[in-house]
Formats: sequence, C-alpha cells, structure tokens
Amino acid sequence: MKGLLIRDLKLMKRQIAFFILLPVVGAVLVAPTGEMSMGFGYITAISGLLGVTTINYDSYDNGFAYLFALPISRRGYVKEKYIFATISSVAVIMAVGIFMWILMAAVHPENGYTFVEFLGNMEDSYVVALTAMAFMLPVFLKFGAEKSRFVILIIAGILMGVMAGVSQMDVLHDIELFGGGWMRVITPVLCLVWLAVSYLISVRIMEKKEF
Amino acid sequence: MLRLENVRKQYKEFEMDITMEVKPGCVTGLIGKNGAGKTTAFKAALGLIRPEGGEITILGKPLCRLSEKDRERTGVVLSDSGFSGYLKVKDLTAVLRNLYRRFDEEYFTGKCKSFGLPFDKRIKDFSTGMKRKLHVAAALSHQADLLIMDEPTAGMDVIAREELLDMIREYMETEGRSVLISSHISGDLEGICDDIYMIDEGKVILHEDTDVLLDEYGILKMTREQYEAVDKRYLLRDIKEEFGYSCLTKEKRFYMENYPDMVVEKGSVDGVMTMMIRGEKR
Repeated sequence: MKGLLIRDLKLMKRQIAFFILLPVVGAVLVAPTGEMSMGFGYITAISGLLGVTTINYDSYDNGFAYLFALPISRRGYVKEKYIFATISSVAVIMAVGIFMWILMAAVHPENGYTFVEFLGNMEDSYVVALTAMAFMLPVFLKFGAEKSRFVILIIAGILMGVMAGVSQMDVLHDIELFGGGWMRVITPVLCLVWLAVSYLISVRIMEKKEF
Repeated sequence: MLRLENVRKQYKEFEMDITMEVKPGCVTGLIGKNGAGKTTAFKAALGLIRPEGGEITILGKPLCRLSEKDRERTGVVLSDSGFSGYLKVKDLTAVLRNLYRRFDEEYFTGKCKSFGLPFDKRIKDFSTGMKRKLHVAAALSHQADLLIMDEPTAGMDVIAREELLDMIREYMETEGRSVLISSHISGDLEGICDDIYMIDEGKVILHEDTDVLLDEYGILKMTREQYEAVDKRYLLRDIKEEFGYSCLTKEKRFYMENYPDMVVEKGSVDGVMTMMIRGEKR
C-alpha cells in the first residue's frame, strides 16, 4: 500500500507544471469577476479527476499485469486508489481554495465573502468531487481509459436528463424547507455510503479482471 | 516451489492444458514457438488470468491463498508488461523499498549502474533490452525464493545476456531457491537450466533434464535405404527430407554404436524442439 502511494505521488510529481497551473487558472476565473462559484466549479472538476488519472498510468503498456505480479493484491490496489484519490482531491481543493480565498479578500474585499461561506463551498466542492470520483473509478477500472470516456459521456447525459426532470418538480424546494443545515450533514454521509458502495464494486471488477 | 497441475485455459482459438513443476533448487526452462502458450502459463502461475480448471501451488500454498507477504518471496520479469513508463529509475528505489521488506537498495542501484541504465530518464524511453535489465535488477533485488522470468533476455546483447545468466547462477548459489525461465534463445537455457519443458499448442510435448537432452538425445540423418533398414524402436519423431530422413532419438549411443555410417547430430534444445514440433510421431 505504502509503495503504491509513493509510486502514485511520484507519478503526480511528473505533472508539476499542471499543478502550478491550477492556482493560476483559479486566479484567472476568480479575480476579474469576484465570483467564487466559478473557481470552485473548476477545482471540483479537476480534483474529481485526479484518482482516475493514475489508473491511466497503470493501464499504459499493459502495466496492470506487472503490478499484480508484485506484492500488490487487487483489493489492496483498489483500496490505495480510493485513498489516493480522496487525499489528493482534498489537498487540491484546500490548496487552490485557500489561494482563491486570499485572492478574493485582497482583490474584492467589498464582496464580504466570509470564512464560513468559504468552508461551506469547500465542503460542497469536496462532496461533489468525491461523488464524481466514486462514479468514475469503477467505470475506468472496468472499461479502461479509452472506452470509459464514452461510457461516462452516456451516463452523464442520462444523469443530466434525470436532474433536469427532477428540477421541474418541487422536490428541491421541499428539501430546502426541510432545512439546509441538515443537508450539510446528510450529504457527506450519503457521499461516504456511495464511496463505500463504489469501492466494493471496484474490488469486484478488479478481482474478475484478467491481464 | 511451483506446480501447475492440469491447468486449463481456453481462448477463442487456443487452449492450454498444462502440468509442470519447478522443484526447489532447480532452474526450469520453458520453451516453445511463438504462441505456444508460454506467456499464458506464466500468467496462470502468477494469478493474472483465471484458468477454467486445474490447480496451481506456489511456495507451498494454493495460488488463491497467496498473500501480499508471500508474493514478496517471488521476483518477476514479464515479457509484455513492466513498471509504469512514466516513472524513472530514481523513483523506483523508494517504491521498491516500500513494497519489499528485504529490498537491497545498494544491490539494485549497483546493478542498474552496471547495466548502464540512466536514472533520470523515463522508462518508456528505454529500449526493450534496457527495460528487461531494469526488471531483472528489480526481481533479483529482494532475496526472492522463486524467480519467474518470461523472456528476460529479450532485446539484450550477448554481453548483457551473459551477465544476466551469471546473475541467475549467483542467485542460485543460495540453497532452496528456484527459477522458472523462458527464452527464445535456446543457448541461454542450455547453459543454465536443470530441466526443460517444451510446449506446443498449449500442451507439454517434452519434459527432460537438460543434461539428458544434450547427452542422450540426437538427430539421425539417414538416406532412404538407411531408414528402411534401421532399428526404429528408439525413434521418437521422423521428418522426411530431400536427402532421406531426419529422426529424433533418445538413444543416440545405440545408433552411434550399431550404425557407424549414420550421421548422428548431438542433441540441442533447438534441434529437439524442431523435431518434436515438426516431426511425425512414431
């Protein structure tokens, strides 16, 4: 597990230019408008993809075969992917988020964007990133990088359709009435349950795979 | 150390059904033409594919019960897979140190240096031979009890191949260790293996001690007349040639003594394999 985590960190290190670019793009999105939502949307999307990127590296040149000939079990591999993705996404959200918050406070102090609001946005961002990641990891493990793009496009299209349908109903309004505070607790719990289910699906996928 | 018993794997146009064993203290070779099933056998032994039947025992345990800790006792070189191409050699030491408790960093870096591998270049930019050298160095760096090496000499020049074979000989100096190795260069196997399995179309067609194969097997070259008259009891395979017949025998001396006019070629892995695959069974 530790060896795999180190390996993924080393692979991430190879993309140092990408990580330097993250706060730069965040600043470009936030500074002119003073809108944090754009910046958080951006880091949510990026952080949700981090775990999946390392799977691409593993599948390159039939790399899985060698990986599982080393002292790495398939369950251990999946566990490491989830741990790595969870940690790397929170690290990116926090680092870029704090940078954007400081930038906001310096460039647009008139907006009165509070630290509590900032923390709320960070939490929302992390929950959405984890939810997306929990969806993408098993898809990437099952279909590989190439086919996964199509599978994700199709499923994302279906989900967008469902969400558009739901937004036409009064369900969201009812949830608001139920109390926004509760949602802050329930959503992360649901996200963790979804993450656990996704992990079990991924383990099953990997245990059935041949290399 | 490693035993595959009636291990069956079915693909669309290929079926493997193999029984073989690597004994403690032995270097066992696996040879066969391209597509014979060597890599499939390796993958089955490593649990990378799921056979339809049979039993695989490795390091005294059924393969399905092999833990990550047990796998530290094996060193592996695969013909079609390796470390992520985006890593560099200098990255690997930290990774291997945390994968193997008995990782010998000094040995690994020393071997990489002696092989002339660049530490600061992405592995994907290495030649085939360089990649093999890297994986061999990694496989030998953690005092494994069993080495499983599929085509470890592929892409290597003569000097590097000799160096690798010396490394395996040195590795085998410690009692109880074993190696399963395949190579398309038969000379590599003749010089290092205690026994050799030949496979063709997914089946073992010959299993023999290397000494026996080299000393007792022979290929008889005969005219048609000689062929008609010869004692055929000890002939294993025949091939009809322009000059007459080539025949494989395990009783080379019998024919040398009784048919002094007959041309008898010394057994070699390549010669025996060609006869076993192309020849007609008697």
